[in-house]
Amino acid sequence: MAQTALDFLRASANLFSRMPTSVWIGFLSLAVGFRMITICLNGENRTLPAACTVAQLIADLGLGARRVAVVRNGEVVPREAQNSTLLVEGDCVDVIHMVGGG
Amino acid sequence: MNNQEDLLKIGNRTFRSRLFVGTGKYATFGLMAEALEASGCEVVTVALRRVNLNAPKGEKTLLDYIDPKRYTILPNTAGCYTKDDAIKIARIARELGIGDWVKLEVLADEKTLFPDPVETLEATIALVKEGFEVLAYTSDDPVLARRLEDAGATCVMPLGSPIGSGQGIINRNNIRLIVENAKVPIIVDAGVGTASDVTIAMELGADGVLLNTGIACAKDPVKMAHAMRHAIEAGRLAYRAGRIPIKRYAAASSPMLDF
Repeated sequence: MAQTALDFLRASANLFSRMPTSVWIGFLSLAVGFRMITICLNGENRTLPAACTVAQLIADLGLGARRVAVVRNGEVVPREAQNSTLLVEGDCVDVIHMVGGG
Repeated sequence: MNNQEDLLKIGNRTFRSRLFVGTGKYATFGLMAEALEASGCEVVTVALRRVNLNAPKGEKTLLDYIDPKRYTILPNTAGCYTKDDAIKIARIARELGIGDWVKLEVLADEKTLFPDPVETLEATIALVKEGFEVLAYTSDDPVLARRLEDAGATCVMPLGSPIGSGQGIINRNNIRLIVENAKVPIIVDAGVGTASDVTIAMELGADGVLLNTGIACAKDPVKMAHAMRHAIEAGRLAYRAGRIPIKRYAAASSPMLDF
């Protein structure tokens, strides 16, 4: 009996050590009750923790808030609303900035 | 004549330089910054696009090379083919904190990059309603220029020739008619290839010239920017000085021989 329990623990430890970090984070999030959401960001899918605001997203991307504008599902998110705008599953978000042009 | 007081007024903004320069197509941002400096311009145009999220962290962007205290940024709606897209871009630009003015550009097709007159007029009406100052890029049609002004455009910007073509001012008569009929500033936008094109636009009475490719794609952009600076001043001064009428026969400059 003791031997079986030990084998089980060894196998589990082995399995966990082989898992990529992202899966670990996923497990941890589930364990503490967080959910993840997937949004379309500048044309590419991206997974974020649920309850992420537009302002947090910009900060996480390492972008200066004053230099970018955010369009969510076709509507511009006013700067003053970025802190209170929560992103939800399936949102389509574009982060826009100035580039060279005539 | 006091040239210091010959200011360009667009809406509530006042400028000493009548040259507007685009920020696209330069080999490097550094070269662009040098060219802008040499051009003496005070207004630079920019486009709006998605941020490249895969760029290396800390990579320099356009704004690292444009001092907002020195240059006034004019956002464009380049690349839009419908009024709805153009209106969306204008709203995004306003959110970026660069004011409520916009160079409205609604194109008809990729081959000519001619402006779509119907979409441009309708977008102008909508944007003016939303409180924008609209600088409308348009063809060199005097009737359309008038209609844009009537729709509330702050400034009308007829093309000299197709964008980036370097053909200069193809229809001088139309540009002159547009200028004569207008109560808002007229800025010739697009098609300028070299300094003389700028001078001609100014001699026809245009209030300013906006160009990009002519400088950015010249062999030596900084030198060309310098030339454009002189060209705009020369053309403006000649316009204000009042040229002589064109005559069919000679008129001697020296007194006739009297001995």
